[in-house]
Amino acid sequence: MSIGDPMIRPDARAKVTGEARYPDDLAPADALHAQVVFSNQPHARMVSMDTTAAAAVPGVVMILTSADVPVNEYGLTMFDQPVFIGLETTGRSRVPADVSRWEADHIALVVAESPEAATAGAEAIEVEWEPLPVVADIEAALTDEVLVHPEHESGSNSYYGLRIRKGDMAHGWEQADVVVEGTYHLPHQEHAYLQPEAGMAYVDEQGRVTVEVPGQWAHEDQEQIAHALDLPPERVRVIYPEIGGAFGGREDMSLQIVLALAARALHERGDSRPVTSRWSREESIVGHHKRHRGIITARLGATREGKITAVEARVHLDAGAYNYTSNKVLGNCHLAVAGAYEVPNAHIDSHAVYTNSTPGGAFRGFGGPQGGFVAETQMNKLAEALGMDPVELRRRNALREGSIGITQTPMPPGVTLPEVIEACSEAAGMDQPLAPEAPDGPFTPFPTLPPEPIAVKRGRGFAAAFKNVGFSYGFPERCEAEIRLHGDDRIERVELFHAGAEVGQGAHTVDLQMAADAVGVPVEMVEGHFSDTATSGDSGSASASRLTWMSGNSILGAAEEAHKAWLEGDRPAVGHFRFVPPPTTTLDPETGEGVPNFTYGYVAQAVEVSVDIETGHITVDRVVSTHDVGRAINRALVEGQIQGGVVQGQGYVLSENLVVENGHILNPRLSGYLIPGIGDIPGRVDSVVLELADPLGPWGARGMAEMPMITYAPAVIAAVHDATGVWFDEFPLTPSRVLAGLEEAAPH
Amino acid sequence: MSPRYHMPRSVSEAVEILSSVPGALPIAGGTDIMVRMRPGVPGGGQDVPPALVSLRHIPELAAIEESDPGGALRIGAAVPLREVADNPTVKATLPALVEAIEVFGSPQIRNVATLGGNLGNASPAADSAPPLIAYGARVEITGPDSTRRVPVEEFLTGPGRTALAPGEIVTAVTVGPRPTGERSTYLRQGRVRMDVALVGLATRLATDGVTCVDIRLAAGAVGPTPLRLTAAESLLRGSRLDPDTVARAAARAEAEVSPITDIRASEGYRRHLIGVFLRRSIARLTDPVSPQEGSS
Ligand SMILES: Cc1cc2nc3c(=O)[nH]c(=O)nc-3n(C[C@H](O)[C@H](O)[C@H](O)COP(=O)(O)OP(=O)(O)OC[C@H]3O[C@@H](n4cnc5c(N)ncnc54)[C@H](O)[C@@H]3O)c2cc1C
Repeated sequence: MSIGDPMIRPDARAKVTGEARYPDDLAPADALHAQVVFSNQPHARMVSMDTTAAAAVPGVVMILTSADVPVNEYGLTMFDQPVFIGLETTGRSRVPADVSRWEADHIALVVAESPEAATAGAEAIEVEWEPLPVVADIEAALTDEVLVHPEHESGSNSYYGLRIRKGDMAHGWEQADVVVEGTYHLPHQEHAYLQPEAGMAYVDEQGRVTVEVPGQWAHEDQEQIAHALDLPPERVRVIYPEIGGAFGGREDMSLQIVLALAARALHERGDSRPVTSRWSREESIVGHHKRHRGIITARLGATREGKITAVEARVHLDAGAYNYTSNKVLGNCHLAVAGAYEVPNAHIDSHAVYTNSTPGGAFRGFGGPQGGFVAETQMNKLAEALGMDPVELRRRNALREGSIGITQTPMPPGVTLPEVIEACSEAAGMDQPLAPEAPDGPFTPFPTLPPEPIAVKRGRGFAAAFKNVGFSYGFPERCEAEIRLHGDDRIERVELFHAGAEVGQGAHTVDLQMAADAVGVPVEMVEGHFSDTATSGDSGSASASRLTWMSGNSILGAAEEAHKAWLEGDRPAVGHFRFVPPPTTTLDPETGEGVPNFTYGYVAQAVEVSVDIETGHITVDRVVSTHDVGRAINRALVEGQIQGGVVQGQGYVLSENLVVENGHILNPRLSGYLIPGIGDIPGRVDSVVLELADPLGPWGARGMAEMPMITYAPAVIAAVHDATGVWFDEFPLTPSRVLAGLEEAAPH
Repeated sequence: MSPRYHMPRSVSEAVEILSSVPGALPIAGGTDIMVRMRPGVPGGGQDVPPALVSLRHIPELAAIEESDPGGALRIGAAVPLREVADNPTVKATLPALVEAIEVFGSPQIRNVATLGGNLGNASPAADSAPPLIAYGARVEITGPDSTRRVPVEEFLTGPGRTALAPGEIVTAVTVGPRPTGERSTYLRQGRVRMDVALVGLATRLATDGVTCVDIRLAAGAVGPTPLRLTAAESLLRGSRLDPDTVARAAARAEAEVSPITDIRASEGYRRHLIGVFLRRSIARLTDPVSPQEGSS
């Protein structure tokens, strides 16, 4: 049995020793180097651009601009972004290209013999801009005085919205004995993956424009490249090398299209050298999207017994200059903001808003952390207002098997939130008083100062949530796998072809484990061929906590097909399978009725903190992170996701503070944008892993990788409140923000 | 373009290259200079000198020496911080400097970064500066013609500015003999473990058990250069260290610093922290069971 074996990842050795080839390690000595040129203009109309001087820089081979893009538009869910901002275009694009709407809009790609020559060429490009007023944030956008996309059919910066109208709100408020409300400001978050964007492109021996680049969905990259280059998809090939983290930050295009354009243009000139490009850390932070910042206002009513009677929420997420996946992220936030509870009456309005700021897009949790923060903080405030234990309050309202969800349809079978809440509460000792001293753990969070014991207050917080697994809202969902069985009488060798992206999470390891089990051979017998559009069918993305779930189902199907072929005497016996889960739907535009998802994962967390009330410094002493994973295909990887998600949540709630002023990111460096280091992580993370099967999951497995992020921020905020008596409706909880909050709340 | 890289074997050779190549810079651990040299956003951030003169192969910059038993301590400018903090004499006599080094960057940074570089870089938040100022340390400067010594607080003249003349380098930091019965500590805070100090405070205290006989307070990141808190010092010197007096001294300290607001912290937060640090430092240094031991 390979399922359940916490086997060591086959890629571990190469990654630890440095043998693994990441996108920046690919270029052969003769490769050309390309430099992307950003506009550096959050909002401006191009008046002129002159590349003559740049083209004359020694070593510069070629400069690509808007004129060189057959179809100058792209976007994962809407074509609202030009590949290059520029004045000359083929005219085959839905979005005007003469206006820069974002400081990292691309204006050109300089291809040169060396990185230095490419940079020198980039600096020699002369551009004249006519500045336009910058729509700096949500508040400015909502006035609609200046439109970021005047061409958009909505005629407003608030370009996409969703509603929920459930039950009878007047009745809900009437029944409420207690009402809590708040306005929450959610911050941006940067993915900060170890490996900034890089890649290489060339035309392969079969004449395909080939791009080796890190991403999360090879076939979608292929599709978007093909669209912009006006090629049939099969003329484009995408190969994923090792990928140094993704977290949603590689769902959208970075270097994919521009490298493909360069490779084709070089090929047409008879130059067969590959072209490579890489972003610096600063370019990476400026150049890709972020977790959405947002403003959410919410009201929550309940009876004295703690039964929820009404939820009202108004959500605005800052989509930035382009949609990316904002409409989809908004959809998730829209569901999450009501919480994982039975809510009889609800009134929710959610909007995605264009600004000239950094685009919002996919990031682990995909709208869940923003909505979940508000839902859970509201619940914790409600528990306080009712004088009720926060676990008990959740017990009384949690979604359970057969519950009707917020979109007025039954929850997909396999709702295990009540069990997850109980297991977390028990493991964390929530029914016991909080110990005065932090428990021992493998790490000692760094106190920064020798703290004065008298100034250190301990507190504990709790939060629970759900998160969809798989694509939502009617987005076509599928996953393909192919299995080939080699041998004569007995199966001697198994080949698995799969496109699912190994972004560091261990996807390929569990693919091999699942294939071995599905075929019935030891895992060593399985050889994987991964992430090449030329050899595998479409697997969908490494996102939405879906990959193990979808891959497993496709592998099970492929193994069954292969077995049939084997019995029929085929050698090799080939099984190809395309798994399609139950369908989902969009929401009714008026009432929000619909079936947004086909399954969910469930999480609860308890967090203990110490707050130094004189300095505002917070350390997290202990985290109990409880997940129903259905079936742990590989327990070590499950725990890796839990610990990693907690640490990423730690940065989100405590230290990561992206400063964006007038459309410019002011701290695009890891010295100024502070992700947690080893000295900052929680002293102890206890992973509680439940295995309550998902009826549709392969071997019962559920998705789980986003979930630790969703509950972490509200659990920490609740723990800080428990320690200090102060609610923080805005984070990150930097020491100075904490201190200011404590001072404001102190009696004068 | 890459700078020329020189590896002189003596101070005079280093000084000669630095004097003859305009714009050449000394490099020790490189933990500041390499960051400044890396290309970032195209067209910004890159600051590459025509030549770098390595100070890592010069024996007299690499040693820690006591001039005579009980005499001044001379710490070579290019000794890695790790070695400085592990030196038995430094440990026994300069505990606040050791504390500063232990919270400095990461293990990797401490393995290569140097005092010469920390002072040469002249950040207002440089962690070695407050303890060195509190100990009355001097910077030994060698140029083409001569060697001179200036107190650390005079060496640092502004953000990124020092008293070095062209061609001069820091060859050592010297600290006079430490009186007995004195204790010292360094407190600092960043937003996360590895961060530029938001505020740092070095305190050196001598008491007769009840009264403050002598005190030196030196603060970092609360002004254009690390500075002595003379108003707070004078209030405390000769006073009983009761909570009331300490609170008044903390208020004076908060008033006499001149921090700025930047994206790391506000002016008000930094001022507040100086007061907290002062109270905690004195509590720590007067605690009879404190694990920290000064020179005895
Ligand atoms: C990740 C990281 C964390 C850091 N954390 C901290 C921290 O916690 N606290 C802190 O204070 N600093 C910190 N720093 C900054 C830096 O490490 C220190 O300032 C360090 O002491 C510099 O020493 P160096 O030998 O590496 O200097 P270098 O980079 O070699 O030089 C720095 C400057 O000083 C000049 N210089 C070097 N030696 C001499 C000399 N002998 N005479 C004259 N000029 C000289 C150089 O020309 C250059 O201008 C950190 C840096 C990094 C990258």
